[in-house]
Amino acid sequence: MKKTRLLLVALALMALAVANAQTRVTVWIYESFGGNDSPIAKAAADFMAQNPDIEIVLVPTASTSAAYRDPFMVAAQGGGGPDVLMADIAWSPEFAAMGIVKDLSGHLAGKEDEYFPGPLDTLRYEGGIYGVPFYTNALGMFYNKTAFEEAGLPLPDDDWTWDDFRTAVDTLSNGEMYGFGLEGAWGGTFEWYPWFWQAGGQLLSDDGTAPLFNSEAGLEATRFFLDIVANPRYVPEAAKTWKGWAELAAAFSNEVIAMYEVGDWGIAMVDGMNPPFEWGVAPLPSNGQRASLVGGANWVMNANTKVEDAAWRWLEYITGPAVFPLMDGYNRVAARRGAAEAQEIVKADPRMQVLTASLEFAKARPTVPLWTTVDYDCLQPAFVRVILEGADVTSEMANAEMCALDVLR
Amino acid sequence: MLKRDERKGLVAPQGATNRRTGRLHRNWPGYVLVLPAMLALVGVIGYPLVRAFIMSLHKIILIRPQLGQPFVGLENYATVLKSPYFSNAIWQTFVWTSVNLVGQLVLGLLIALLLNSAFPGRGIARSVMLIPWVIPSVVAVLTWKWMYDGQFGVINSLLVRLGLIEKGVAWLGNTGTAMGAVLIESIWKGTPFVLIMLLAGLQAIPAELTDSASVDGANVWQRFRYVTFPFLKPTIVIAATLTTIYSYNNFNSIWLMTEGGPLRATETLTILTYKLAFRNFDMGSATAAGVLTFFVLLVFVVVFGRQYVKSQMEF
Repeated sequence: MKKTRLLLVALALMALAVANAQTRVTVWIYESFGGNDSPIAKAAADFMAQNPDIEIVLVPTASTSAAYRDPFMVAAQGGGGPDVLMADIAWSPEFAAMGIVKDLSGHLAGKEDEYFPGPLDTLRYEGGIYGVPFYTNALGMFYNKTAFEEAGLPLPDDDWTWDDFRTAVDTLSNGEMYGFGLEGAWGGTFEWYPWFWQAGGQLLSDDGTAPLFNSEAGLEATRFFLDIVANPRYVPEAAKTWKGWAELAAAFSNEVIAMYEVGDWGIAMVDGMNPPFEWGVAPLPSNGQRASLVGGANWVMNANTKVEDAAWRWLEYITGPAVFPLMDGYNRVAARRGAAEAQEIVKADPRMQVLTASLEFAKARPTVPLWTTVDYDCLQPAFVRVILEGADVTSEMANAEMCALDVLR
Repeated sequence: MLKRDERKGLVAPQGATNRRTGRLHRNWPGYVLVLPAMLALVGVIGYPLVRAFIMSLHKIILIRPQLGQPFVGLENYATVLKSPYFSNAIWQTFVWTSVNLVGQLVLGLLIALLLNSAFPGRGIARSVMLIPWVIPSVVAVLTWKWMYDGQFGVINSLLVRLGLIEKGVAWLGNTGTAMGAVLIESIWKGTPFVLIMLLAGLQAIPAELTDSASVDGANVWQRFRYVTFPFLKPTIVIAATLTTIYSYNNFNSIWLMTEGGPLRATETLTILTYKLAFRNFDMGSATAAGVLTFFVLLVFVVVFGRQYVKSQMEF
């Protein structure tokens, strides 16, 4: 009898322990988001206070492809990895195709309208939605307002065109300053996408199997763009190796270049360098139609997670209304609709307002997993050959098309 | 130890197998103690090697899991070997490794000879020469990248002031200069290691030998050729082996500076393998390239290993 009573007490204690046990959710975040006093650490603390049955473990990780994306791929392929992670929008289709992240369309049913369409599109793959948009951005044009005024050029506004841009580049390239700068180490494809879409180009067929960029519109945009980029009077020689935003911000702040394409993350960078001139942000020039490029990060859930419910509750919280003050803390714009009205950093800064408005016409790169390969192996070499060797745009675009066909086959 | 072995051999003359069994029986505590280390080595070196070889015989494209992982025999090897990117990578690897090897050995030897001679401030000079080696490789590479910058780089600034160039050059952004620029960083970073090894080798040479050669009328070159060099040869072979392996496998310098570009002008085998694996997600081809790289490296190790044994025997 005594033994039975002891057994019952032990069982009851065990049940209590199980009932009180927290479900641990391991979360990879970019290193730049981390730290004990970081906004996301505070958000996690708030979440855990509201959900005492869940423990959020944030793991800040260096956010380059080699240090972040690749280890996750390897771990997830081996059945491990974190439960959820922040991920660059360009990685989402790759993860989805590998089957290492969960389709969250069931969780998102009826909630899709809560997010900007561009960021949400980066998560669509074969009918599913493989994550939740977190923060977003669109490319705009940073310009040296003082240089524009001194050169007697009208300041860029919502209506400025390709011709206005070319005139500005030509006028501002005065021997001491270059009119334009870009991340030339990538061949300039990142900055080229908006021009391509502004010309009415389509990168891939709807089924994602055929490259369509070697079209009339594609050639028009590419010729226009590379005519400027390959001109050593307009773009500094040094831009051939630039592949980081710090290099461009330094060149802009030191009056080496008068304009460059960048998103909201560039504002703090340039402000931090205290440029000795007035500067502003304009939407990218239009060519009959407007376009920009969507960037940012999503949340994805590891297909191996054993705590899907708890992980989803975290994602629901971190991408819900709590995302607005959180993103204010990072000078970023949430991918959730209403950011322009809800976020202090947008309301307080006209430059952020220009970039946030560009989200309405910003597009995502194709959500085809091999698009990155097409970009790296086909388009970038074609652009670099035009820039370095003076190759013909028409033949290089034809080569890039053949290469893309081979990759996508 | 030798006597005990001999004694054991006399009391157990049944043959080699029995002697081995006897040794095993007698030395079992030693084997048990090294077993964990052996298991760890098998786990971190043996298993990945075998697994990579098996993977290289299968078609594994991570972003096409629906294709499964069918056995394709040597198809991945054929694909890799036929690729123009592979032949380019072989050539770039040859240039990269051989220039690194020669550059680091020659510079290391010259500086080691200098630092082995007596002069005021030698201790400080020896410490200063080690600085490149102790700087973390990522920091060193990124520093050099800024030094090479076509707009803000100190190298361009210096060359313009000296009147050698008119305006800044993007050393890492042009196909003709990128490999040379990355090589300079790599040689700068790797030379101190060779230098330390050779300096240690030089200090082990008895001074009486060079002194007596001097008395016999040998000039500087003759003293080096017939006294110093024969003594130093085993150390040079080891330094050459390690430099070759390190240079061949050096991924950081190239990746952080150029990612193999522009237009694959600095794309070595390690860079190509990484791109196949993590840009194209073609693990079958990537592991095939990795296995080929392993065998090429194995040839180097065997050749250098024989040279080392030979130089030891000559010595």
